[in-house]
Amino acid sequence: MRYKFIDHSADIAVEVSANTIENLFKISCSAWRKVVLDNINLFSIEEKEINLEAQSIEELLVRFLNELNYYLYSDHWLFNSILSLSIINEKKIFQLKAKVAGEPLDNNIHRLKEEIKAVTYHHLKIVKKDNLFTTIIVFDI
Amino acid sequence: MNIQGIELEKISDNLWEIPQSSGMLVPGRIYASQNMLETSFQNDEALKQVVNVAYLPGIQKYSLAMPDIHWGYGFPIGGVAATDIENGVISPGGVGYDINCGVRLARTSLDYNSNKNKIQKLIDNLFKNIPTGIGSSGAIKKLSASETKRILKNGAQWAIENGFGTEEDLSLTEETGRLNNADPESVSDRAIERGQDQSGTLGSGNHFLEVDVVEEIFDETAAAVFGLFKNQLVILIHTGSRGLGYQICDDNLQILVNTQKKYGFNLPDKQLACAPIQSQEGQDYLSAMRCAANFAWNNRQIIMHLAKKTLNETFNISGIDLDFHLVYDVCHNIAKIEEHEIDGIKKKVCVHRKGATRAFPAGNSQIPEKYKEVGQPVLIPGDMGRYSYISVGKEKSMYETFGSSCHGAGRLQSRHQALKQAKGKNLINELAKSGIIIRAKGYKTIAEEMPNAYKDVAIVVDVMHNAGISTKVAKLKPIGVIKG
Repeated sequence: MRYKFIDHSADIAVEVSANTIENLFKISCSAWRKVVLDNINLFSIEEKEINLEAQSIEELLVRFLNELNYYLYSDHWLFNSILSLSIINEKKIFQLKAKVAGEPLDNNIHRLKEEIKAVTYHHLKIVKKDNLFTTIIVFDI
Repeated sequence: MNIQGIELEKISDNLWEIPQSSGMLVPGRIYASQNMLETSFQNDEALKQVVNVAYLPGIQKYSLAMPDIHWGYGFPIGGVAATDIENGVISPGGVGYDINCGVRLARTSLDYNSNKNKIQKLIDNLFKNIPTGIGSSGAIKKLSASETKRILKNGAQWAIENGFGTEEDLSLTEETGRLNNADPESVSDRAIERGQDQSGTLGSGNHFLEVDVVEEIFDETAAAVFGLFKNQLVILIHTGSRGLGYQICDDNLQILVNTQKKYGFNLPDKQLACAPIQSQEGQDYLSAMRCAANFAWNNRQIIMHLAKKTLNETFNISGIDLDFHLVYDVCHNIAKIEEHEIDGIKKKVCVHRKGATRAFPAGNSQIPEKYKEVGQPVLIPGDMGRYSYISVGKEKSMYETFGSSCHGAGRLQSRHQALKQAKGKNLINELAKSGIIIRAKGYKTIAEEMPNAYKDVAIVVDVMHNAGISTKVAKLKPIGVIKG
C-alpha cells in the first residue's frame, strides 16, 4: 500500500496502490494531505461524516477527495485521519460512508504548501491486477 | 515529423497539422517552430490531447494549439476549439477549473529611472495591501451570499458601484467585465460560500501581481494608442475566479461525467466530459461559467484598485499626476459564443479558449472604441525573471485561430523538477541581482515558479508574430513581483 508522485508538467500527479478499494481511498487521502500540507503532526479533534453517491468508483474517489478540498478552503478545516470508511455498490450506484477527523486550520501553526484547485477526472481509472488496486490521480494546481 | 507516435505535417515554418484519423472529427493544428516541437513535447501528453479534443461533437475546422501548449487535463493548456452552437457541445474541460483566469495591464505616468529608489517600498506595500497565497481572503469585508450573487450577475460593474474603479475601466475590459445571461441561481451554495471572502485576492500558484518597466517598443503606433512609452512603470495582474470558479467547474463536471451515455458520447478522456450546448446541462454550465467569469473580472478590478491606492500612497502622488489607467483586461480560460466565418459562411460558435487569449483585430465590433484602429491588446506574461509581452490582434487570427493567440510562456519543467533544480539556490537573491524584488508567502512557490521552469516567452510570442496572428507591440521587464 503506497503512493508515489509522478512527473506532470503543469499539475501534480500521484500513483496510488492498495490491497482493497477502501485502502486505495485512504491512501489517496494521505497523498492529498501530503500535497497540501508540510509534514506536521495534526490532531483529530473534530469529526465529520461524509456520505456520497456516484455512478462509478472513479467518480466516487474524485468526489471524496474534492470533499476534503472543500472542507479546507471553505470551512478552513484540515483533514487528518479516517476513522471509518465503507463503500458499497448497490444497483450500480457506489455509496461511500465515512467518518473523518481533523482540526480547524490555524495559519499560525499549519503551513499550507499547495492549493489544489480540484481533483480532476483526467485519465482516472482504477485498475485491479494481482489483488492490487492501482490508480493515477491528477490534482489541478 | 513523428512525436510520440503522432504524425505531424508541416504547413509552414510556424504551423503543423495532425491529419484527421479515426475518431477525430477535424485535423489538429499546432502553432510552433520545429525546434519547439522537437524539444518541448517529447515527454508529455499535450499533442495527444490536441488529438482528443478533435473528438468533440460539433468541433469546427481544427483542434488548435497555441505555441505555449503544454500538458493539461482533458484539453491541453494552450488549446482552442470552436463548436457549432446548434449541433455542438460545451466542455468545462475546455475552460478549466480557474474560469476566466486572465491578465490585466494598467499604466502609470511614472518613469522608472526617476523612481528606482521607491520600488522596494512599493513592493512591500503591495504585498501588505493585496492578499496573496493559498485560500487568501480579506481584501474587502466578507460579502453576504446575496451581495456575492450581485457580483456573479454584474461582474466588474459591482466594483465600480462600490468605489473600486471608474466607468472607463469597464470600457477597457473584455466584454466590459460582464458576460450576460449569467444566472446566479445556476451556481451552487458551496461555490458562493467559497467566493464570499475572496474578492480582491490573488491566490497562489502561478498567479501574481508584477510591477514592470516598458523595456522595448516594437510597434510605436499601437504602443501610443495603448498609452505605453519606454521606461514607463506598469502593473500586470494575473489571477482568476478563485475557489468560486473551481467549485463551479467541479459541480458541473460531476453532472456531465454522468450524461455522456445519455447523449451517446464516447470521448477518450473523462475530463473532456461535455453536453450539447442547447441541452439543459449545457445551458446550466454556460450560465454558471459566466457567473464565475464575472466574479473574476470583479476580482481583478478590485486588485487593480488596491494597487492604484498603494501607488498613490507610496509615491505620495495624486490621482491626476499618477495618471493611472487600465490598458486592457483579457481572459484566457473561457468559452464564449462568437460569430466566425467558416467555409465562407458567418456562423455562431462556442469558442473554448483554455490557456489562450482572444486576439481580435482592428475594426472588430467587440473591441474598445479606443483600440478600433489598431486591434485589441493581447497580454502575454512570461516568467518572473525575464519579460512579458504586449501584442496586438491581427486580421489573420479571424481566419486561422477563431481570433485567438497565446497566453503565456507555458511550463517546461514539472513543479517537482523545478524544486529539485532550485535546491541549494537562493532564488530571491538571484532575482534581486537581476533587479527583481520578490515577495511571496512561501519559498516553495518561488522555487516552483522559477524562470527556468518556463519556456522562453519570447520564442512563443515570436511564433504568433511570425504567423501574423498577433504582432509584438512592447516588451515588459519585471522589477517587482508579489505572489502566493
